[in-house]
Amino acid sequence: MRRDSTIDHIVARCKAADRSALGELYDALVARVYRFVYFRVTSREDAEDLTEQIFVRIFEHIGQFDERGIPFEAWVFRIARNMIIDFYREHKVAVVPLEEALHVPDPGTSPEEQTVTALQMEDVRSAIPKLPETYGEIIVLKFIEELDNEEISRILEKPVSHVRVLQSRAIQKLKEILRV
Amino acid sequence: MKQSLEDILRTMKTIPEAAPRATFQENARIRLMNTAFIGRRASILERIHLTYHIARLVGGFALASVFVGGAVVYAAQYSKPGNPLYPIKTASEQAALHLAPTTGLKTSVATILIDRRVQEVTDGRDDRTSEDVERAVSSFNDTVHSMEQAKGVDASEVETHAKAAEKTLESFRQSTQHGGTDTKSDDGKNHEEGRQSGDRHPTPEITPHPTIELQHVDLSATPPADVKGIQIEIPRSGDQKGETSRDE
Repeated sequence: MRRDSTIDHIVARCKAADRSALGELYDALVARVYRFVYFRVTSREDAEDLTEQIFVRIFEHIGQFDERGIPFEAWVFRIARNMIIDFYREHKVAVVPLEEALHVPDPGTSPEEQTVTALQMEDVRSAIPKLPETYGEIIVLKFIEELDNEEISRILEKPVSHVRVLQSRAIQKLKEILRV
Repeated sequence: MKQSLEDILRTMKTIPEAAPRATFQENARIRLMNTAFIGRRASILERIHLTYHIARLVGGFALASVFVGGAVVYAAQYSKPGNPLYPIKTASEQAALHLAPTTGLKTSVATILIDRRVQEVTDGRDDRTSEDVERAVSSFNDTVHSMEQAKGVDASEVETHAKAAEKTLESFRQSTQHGGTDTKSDDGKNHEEGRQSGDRHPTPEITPHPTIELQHVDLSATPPADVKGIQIEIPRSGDQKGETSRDE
């Protein structure tokens, strides 16, 4: 993961007890954390609750973060992973309900093509939480967050070679769920 | 599928639902900033700052307490046994005794307190009951006992003064027995001669014994030199003992 010097600077200020830096850290990371959580759970409400809990955990433990180790974002995603795991342990994962059609405007396509694309995205969105834990994480981190394999290996605490293997298996599993 | 699965996945980042709602983002930020703490000890500056604020709060509260407490203590000085403020009066007297730095001053305070008890017994009011007087006498006895036992006082001086005070009270009792006829007892009824079974201190109109002039104990003033009878002198600075003269 490319070390973001801006984030590193903010983290350093947080560790120096600059409370305003906590707010800046939140602003810098909330969208990414929320997105990572959103595609792993089944509702926006759950995603919002979890996101807030993740930041509470981040603020509580940021004093113990060692900047000589993994990048801060990787540390954040690890916290998010663990809290999602805890969430699934506490909550029974229900059958994913049909969601409203997701509209993705594409000026170059016909209305028929736009409808097909929207339905496919809805299917994919619904299918990701059904994946086994690690596969779902790989899908979100690799294709939605567009992190490289090295960054993903730091987050998942797995070798890079293993991440490549998991990546192809995750795509296969998702296709099985989508029956394509 | 027109698009590959990977292509679809890559575009999912852009869907509106994948972004946190503005209201959630703002409200969560407020909640987090209100409750966030960093899991480590506060810096020295933070602790100094916090200590300063706590000290200000405590100091302000203490100052307010002193003002309020001082007013209550002042008001209590005029209370009599049985009055709710009376314990505050006796507590402030004890504090004055303990705070007196020298034996001479402690002894002076002790003798003044005894005189106060005498005054509480003899201070005449028409609505005083025998119970009031009994309480005052009991308070006198308690004070004499505690003053004689108090640390740092000249016990012999206090004892001498206490004996003089007892004589004063005895004279007062005799004068009240021979003097008035009406005493208001607790049932509100007047009784002739003020004597009832068990009523040791009837209080008719209280007239001081002609040979005794009781001086109001003023802790700040020096009694005039020509006053006869029991005189209580407040020692001036440098003096170690107050002098009392016997009643004539």
